[in-house]
This record gives sequence, C-alpha cells and structure tokens, in this order.
Amino acid sequence: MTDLCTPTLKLLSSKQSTIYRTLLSSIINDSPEMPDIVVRVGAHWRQQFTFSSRFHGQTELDLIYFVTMLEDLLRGQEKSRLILMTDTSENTGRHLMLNWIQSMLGRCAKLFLLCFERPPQFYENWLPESFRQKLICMNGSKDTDEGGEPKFSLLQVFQEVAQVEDVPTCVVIDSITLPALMRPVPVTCAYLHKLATADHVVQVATLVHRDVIDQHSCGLLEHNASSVIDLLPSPSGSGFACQIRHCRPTGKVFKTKEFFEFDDSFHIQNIGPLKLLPQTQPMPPPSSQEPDPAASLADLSFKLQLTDREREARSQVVLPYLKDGSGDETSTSKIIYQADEADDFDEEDPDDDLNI
Amino acid sequence: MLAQICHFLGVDSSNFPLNEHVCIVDRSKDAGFLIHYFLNLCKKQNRPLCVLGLTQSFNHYSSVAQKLGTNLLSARDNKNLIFIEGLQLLSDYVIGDQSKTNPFLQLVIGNVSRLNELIRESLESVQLSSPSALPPVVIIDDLSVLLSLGVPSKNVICFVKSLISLVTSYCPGGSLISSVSVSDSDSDEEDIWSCLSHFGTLNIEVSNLKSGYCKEVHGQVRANRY
Repeated sequence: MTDLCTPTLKLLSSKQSTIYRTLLSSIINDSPEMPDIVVRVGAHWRQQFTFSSRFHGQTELDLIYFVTMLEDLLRGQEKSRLILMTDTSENTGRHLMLNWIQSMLGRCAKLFLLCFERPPQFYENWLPESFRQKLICMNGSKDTDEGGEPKFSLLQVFQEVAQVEDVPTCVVIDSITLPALMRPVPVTCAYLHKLATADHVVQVATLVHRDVIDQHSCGLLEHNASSVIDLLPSPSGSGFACQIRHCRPTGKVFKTKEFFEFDDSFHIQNIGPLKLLPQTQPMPPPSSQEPDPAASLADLSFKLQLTDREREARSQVVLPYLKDGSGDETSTSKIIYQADEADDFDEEDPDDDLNI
Repeated sequence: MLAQICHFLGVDSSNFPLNEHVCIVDRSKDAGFLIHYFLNLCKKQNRPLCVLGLTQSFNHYSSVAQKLGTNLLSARDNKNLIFIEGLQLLSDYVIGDQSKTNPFLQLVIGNVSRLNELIRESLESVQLSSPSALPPVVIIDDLSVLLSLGVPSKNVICFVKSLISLVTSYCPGGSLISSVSVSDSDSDEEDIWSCLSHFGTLNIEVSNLKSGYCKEVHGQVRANRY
C-alpha cells in the first residue's frame, strides 16, 4: 500500500484515525525497521510516525500527529485574506507580528505597514536589510486633522494601497485597537474588508488587544477575519500558546490549538500542537481568567498554607466551651430568682418562639 | 536606593535610555517613590525635564528630592526643569477659568491638542535653556486624576498617545514616564492601564501583598520590559 520512496499520499476519506492506523500497520508489515518518516497528507496535515524495530509485529501504535495551521498560515501555504491576532499585555502578539511581516515580505512586492503603537523604526531595525526596500511605513500617530487632533483612521493606508499598481501587496496594521477604540467599529471593519478584498492585496494582517476593547467590538472584528489567532498563556509556563480559527473560502472551518517559542532574536520556532500537561487543567477561554486564591498563597516569602499533618491536628483540636454531645451537661450551680411585687413576672418563656 | 532600583529595572543609572516609555501602575497608593526615583535619576544626568504634576505641588517633589540629594529648585531656576502646576490649572478649571482655552476643559470634550501644546511649549523652553544636547523627559503624575475631572478614558488614552508621538518625534530620543493609580472598583482606570501597558517599553506594577498588610514589607513591584 505504501511507497516509501514517495511518501506523499492522497487522503481518501475524512476518517483520519482509521486510515492512519491502517496505513501504519501496512508500513510496519512492509518494512519492520524504519527511520522516522514524515508523511504529508492533504494541504495542511502533517503526520510524523515514530517507531523502531521494537514495534515490529504490533499493529497498534501511538500515533503522533499534529496540525500546524499556524505555520501554514505564516508561510502562506494556507491562503487567508484577513488575519486577526488577538493578545493581552501578558501575552503580547507583537513578536508574532514581526515574524508575520518578515514572512509577508518574502511573498509580496510591497508591504504597507501602518503603525499606531510602536514607531516604524521598531520594525525596520528588526527586519533584514534586504527586505526593507519593499516595506512602506506609515506612522498613524502623525495623521492628524486640521486642529491637530489624531484621526486614528485607516483611510490613509487605504488610499496608498489603491494607488499601487497591479503587484502583490500586503498590508499590516499595528494595531487596530486604537482605530477600533476611537472610531466606530463598523467603520473600521468596513475599511478592513475593503483592504482585504482589493484585487492586488494578497493578505491583510492586524493585531488587536482584547483586554482593551470590549468583547462586542472584538467579536465584530473577528467576524470579518478569515483567520483569528488568539494568543494565550502557555500551560507549561514557557513559550506561547495560541488558539486558531481559520475559515477557508470553501467554507470549511479549522480550529487548532498550537504552541510556539521565540529565540533570542524573536524569530519563531518549535511550532507544534499544544500538549496539555497531565497535572494541569485545560486552558480557560481568553475572556474568563480568574485568579486562584489558593495558588496566590503559594508564592509568598512566608508560609501561610497548612501541611496535611497540621490540617489533621487542627481538625482534632477540641474547642473549649463547645458542646460535644458527651458527658453530663447538668450544672451544680443554680440561680434562684424571687420576684417581688414590682416585677411583672411572666411564666412564659420569651424565647419560646425561637427555633433553636 | 537609586542603585537598587536601577538594578531591578534594568536601567543604566548613568545613561537613562532614549525613546523609553515607562508606565507605572499604582495599585497600592505607595508608588510615589518611583516618580521621585525617576526625577532624581534624570536630574543627575542633566536631562531636560518637563513635569506635569496633577497630584502634588512642586514643593512636595522638591522637598523629597532634597532628601535624596537633588536640588530641583536650582534646576527650575536654571530652566532645566519646567514644572507645570497641574493642581493650579485644575483649580482654575473647576472653580475659575471655564474659558475654551483651558486645556482640561478641552480634554473633557475630546481635544487633546491644547494640553499637548502646553507641554510642547514647555519642552521648547527647557531644551533651549538646557546646557546639554540630551533629549528631554516628560513625567506625568498621575493620569487617574483626569478621570476624576470627568475626562473619558478614551480621551486620556488619546492624550497619552499623542504625547508619546510628541516626545519621540518632536524631540527625537525623548522619553515619557506616566503613572496611573488603579483602584479595584474603577474600571476606567483599569482600561487606561490595559491600553498603556501595550504602549510602554517598561511597565512597572506596584501592588499590595496578596496576604495583606505587613509591618516591614509594604508591597511588591513587578516590572516588564518590552
């Protein structure tokens, strides 16, 4: 069934797990000892089968497979008109944006970069010099009206893109947060849509801070985007995690959770599936991240938590003056009250109506 | 104290970095020491300073600076330091001058250019009289006072953004240090901080201890550099 010289196969059905088990057992039967192989099935799936001679004869193996939608989107192998990256101040997406710009510059003739937050020099200093000639930077902070008030408008970049000749063009906006905050969100969405659907525009990528704009505005922007990449905290504490939703033009929707890291010069590396650690809980959704009070006591310089032994000892402490239900509760002392003529002594118990 | 804070923040005490935007969020009401630290640091390096004081008068900063070994009075007299008495301007806005030229009234209605113009004039003045050619530093203490005036959080964000553009482009290499006091019950303050934390190159968060009040340890400081 398999031809190891040409590992590229065509996926015949959507039941991947069944097919891959069959495929793997076939591979084992054909060649019991093999090095690691990579089989590419379809446009974006990539499977890595790892086995050695000790698995010979077995038909059930642990399949290690992962979907690298992030890498395919980043390299342009997966087409997407409008990419929206969402981040927070704790998990910033600017470094991912830098890598996206570098990748885009390798695929297009011109790239328009509209900067609202970091100055253009921030990007120019990071990019290789060979790419800078394709880069056209616009400082959005300098776009002001007659009174000197900043406009935070996308009209400037839209007009520049419209004047470009018929060459592959990309547009990056860092970030869309201020235009979405200062101007009506539907107007910003309309400009984004016009940019993404322009004839010679290959791709538009932008970043939005979901801890700044409200959820409704964020939802409007996500609805316009064909790909949404939410940056999340990594469960392992190192690297970055992301949640990707990608819609193909055919209508098929892919949802993946992936992991990646940056090297010292902020180049992306080690893109792979997000593996949840056994002792950790699944990642919470981006909008609901409540601090755990018990975990917050763990990183103090003095001990406030109890050990199991201390907790047990505390539970066994008998509190004084607490009725434990044992022993004779009758007291030897008595109070004798003799009412005189001025007292309005009532035989009834005033606490009789209490449910004690 | 200066050396310890410099070491913690990764700041060179002899060369305050250029194009720096430092955002300080105060969740404990004890973060004022950082403003005094930066004042002291910039004064020692003879950086032209423009301070917009919205919580304290100049005398307060001068008194504290004297205890730290810095003379702000002489810096002001030599025009190396311009202190904008924000409290005086605020009192004019609240009690006296309600004219259209009042910068805070303009800020309430969404025009940030008037207040920016005030700071730009101060920067021009301080740079002209500065003996060194070093880029200036603008310090704002603190932005949450503007919210108390009724300035919408969007306008405060717009003001800070335009100020960053002014400081870095009009005076290349200039730096901005801004502080925001955030209380648990005010969402506008939290919104401003959320936005400024994305603009900042150095974010400093001062907060109380999670375990509560302690006699000897007053809080914790967390710094993120981007």
